[in-house]
Amino acid sequence: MTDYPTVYKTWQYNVNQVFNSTGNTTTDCQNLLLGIVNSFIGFSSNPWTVVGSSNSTVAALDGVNRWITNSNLVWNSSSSAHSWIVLKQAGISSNFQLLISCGTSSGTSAYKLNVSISRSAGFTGGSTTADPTATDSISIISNSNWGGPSSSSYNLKLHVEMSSDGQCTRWQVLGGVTGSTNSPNSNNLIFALIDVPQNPVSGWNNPFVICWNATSSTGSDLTSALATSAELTGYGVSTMTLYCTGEGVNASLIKEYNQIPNDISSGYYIGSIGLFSNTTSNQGRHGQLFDMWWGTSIFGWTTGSTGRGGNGLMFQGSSSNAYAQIGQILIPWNGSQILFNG
Amino acid sequence: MVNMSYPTLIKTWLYKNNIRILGTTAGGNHPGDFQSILYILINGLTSFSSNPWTVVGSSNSTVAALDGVNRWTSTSSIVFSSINSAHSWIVLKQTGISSNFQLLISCATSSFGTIGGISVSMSPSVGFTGGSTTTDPTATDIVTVNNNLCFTPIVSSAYVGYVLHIQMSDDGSCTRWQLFTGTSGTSNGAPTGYNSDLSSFAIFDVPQNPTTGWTNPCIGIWLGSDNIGNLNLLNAFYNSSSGIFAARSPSGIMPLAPTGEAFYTSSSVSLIKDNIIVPNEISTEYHLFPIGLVSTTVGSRGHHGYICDMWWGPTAYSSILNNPLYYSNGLLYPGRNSNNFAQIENLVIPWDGSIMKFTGS
Repeated sequence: MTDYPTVYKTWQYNVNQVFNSTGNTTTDCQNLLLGIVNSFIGFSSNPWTVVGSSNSTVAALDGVNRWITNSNLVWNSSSSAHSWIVLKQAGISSNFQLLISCGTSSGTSAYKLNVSISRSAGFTGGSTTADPTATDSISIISNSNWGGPSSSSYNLKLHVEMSSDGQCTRWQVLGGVTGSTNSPNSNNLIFALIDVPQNPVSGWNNPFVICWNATSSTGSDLTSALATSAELTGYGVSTMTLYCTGEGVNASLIKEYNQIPNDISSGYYIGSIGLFSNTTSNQGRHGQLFDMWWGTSIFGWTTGSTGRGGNGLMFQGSSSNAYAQIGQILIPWNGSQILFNG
Repeated sequence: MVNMSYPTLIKTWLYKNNIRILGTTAGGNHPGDFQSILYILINGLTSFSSNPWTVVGSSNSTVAALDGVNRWTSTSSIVFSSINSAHSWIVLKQTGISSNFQLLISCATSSFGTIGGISVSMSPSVGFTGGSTTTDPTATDIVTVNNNLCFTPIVSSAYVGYVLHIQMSDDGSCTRWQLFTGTSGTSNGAPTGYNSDLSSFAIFDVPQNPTTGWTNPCIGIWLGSDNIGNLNLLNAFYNSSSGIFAARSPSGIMPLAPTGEAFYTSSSVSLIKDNIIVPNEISTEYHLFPIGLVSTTVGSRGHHGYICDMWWGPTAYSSILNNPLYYSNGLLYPGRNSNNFAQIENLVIPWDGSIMKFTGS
């Protein structure tokens, strides 16, 4: 029997949001990004708040949300009129801010974004043709894919979870092309989190980690990247990247060491995820992620006919569907059946 | 002083540390030194103030029986030989591990003959039966720990003595010992005063949080070195993926490999302890990491628990004196009091507050 881990946070869920293909990738991107932002600001307890925004015609850091409809999300080159929004989450630190900008060097390509955060100083300035800036900003996505479809219009499922104290926000996008070879055609287009870590080391002031792993095409398991490279960004003594650690033996992580249930207990392995940095001046093991675990990698995404992989695998826990596996990672779930199929 | 994030001890520990054992003859005497070491070890295990190991039976090569008598009453009672010749053996029992956990130490080996060397096996619950002056007792649930163990070097170089450390939890569920073999001079590359080889390392434990369904959970390991200069005795421990601990699951023999917190570097997985070359640069502390137990043996696959009160220490200390051969032997951590933890190579164990002795000189 699987030994389920303790869930430390109380979680709010806005999962199983359906964004069906419109046949137009720009519209798909508008719908999806607006859905993400609306989820962030729509939670009942400690939601993200809007510091300011631009809809490409009006821009100000005045607390107004100008991303009302998908047409308010306008992509353009960074010095041309474009949309941006600054969100704030005091659960992470008193003035933690997130800037999402549709102004990139890729111009009108809606599957590209610039994303950055401000640890505490906050963003200032900004106009319809210029993004706000912050003295302590850290770039998270720079003219790169953020998960919106690029060449093909997809049926998408958006899942957003936030802890009731605002410390942890996660979002995932699953979906794909109907009838693709990844039957039952589900791909992980976004796996992202902005979290205060559990048990941060002493001296780590305003600790946070952020990851926005994304692809704009089918055929990937974004969670496997978390295991194989330093995908998280944080700030210790300076900006640092962090690895997601797991229990390992010799040359393997346990999650991939045993691909079957435990022969003695019949339970599946569920392991905690630590945070380790080897960035100069920030080296060390600095904490772990709240309420997120490595699952057994046999359930992870696999190219080909078994493409569903771990997406949508449900674990009962102490109640029905209390955990869901996405790729190789397990997260708390709200009891519903996760939607993942494109 | 090492700034350290200290773990909480699960067990209350009893110590017989820093037992000095002089070489019987300058320059090495075998099997004389082997006899002295085994004699003192058995006396140590059977004399703890709480839940000591007891003797189930023994052979001194002339009389043998599983009658509760300890015939290892002097060093000369310990006789080494090849298999099927008259030799000594002893069976010990530790009810803190299971109601009838037994450990057989036999002085008959196929490799070392009369020079010295032992065979070690355990019975998790059934117990040993039979045995004579020429044959070892057997058990239906026997688990071989080490069939040809040379627990200290037999090379007759300038050994000047040994230091034995024994630790046992007061409930008897965990017993460990370490033996350091010292030489004079610095020919082994270690700094003056630090010339000491870890030549024996043993654990007989009930794991922490054993997997549900693992009846009579226990692990055993006794590593030894027969060669001076083998200053990284625990290398096999670190690099084991198929299993270095002896154990038995309900399905049969189940070698277990030690785990540690790890991450991918390029295409391979690396334990964090091997990547800690400086203290945590945010907290300025060194960190210790739990040691898990996994098996790939069909019928027993999975993660089956942790080693109680033993941790991976930072590899940084393997070169603390700019000498890669020194490793970390003898490094002490103050803990919440004084010298509450000691590092041996890459492993950290609870300590009794004393200065750890490990040199032979």
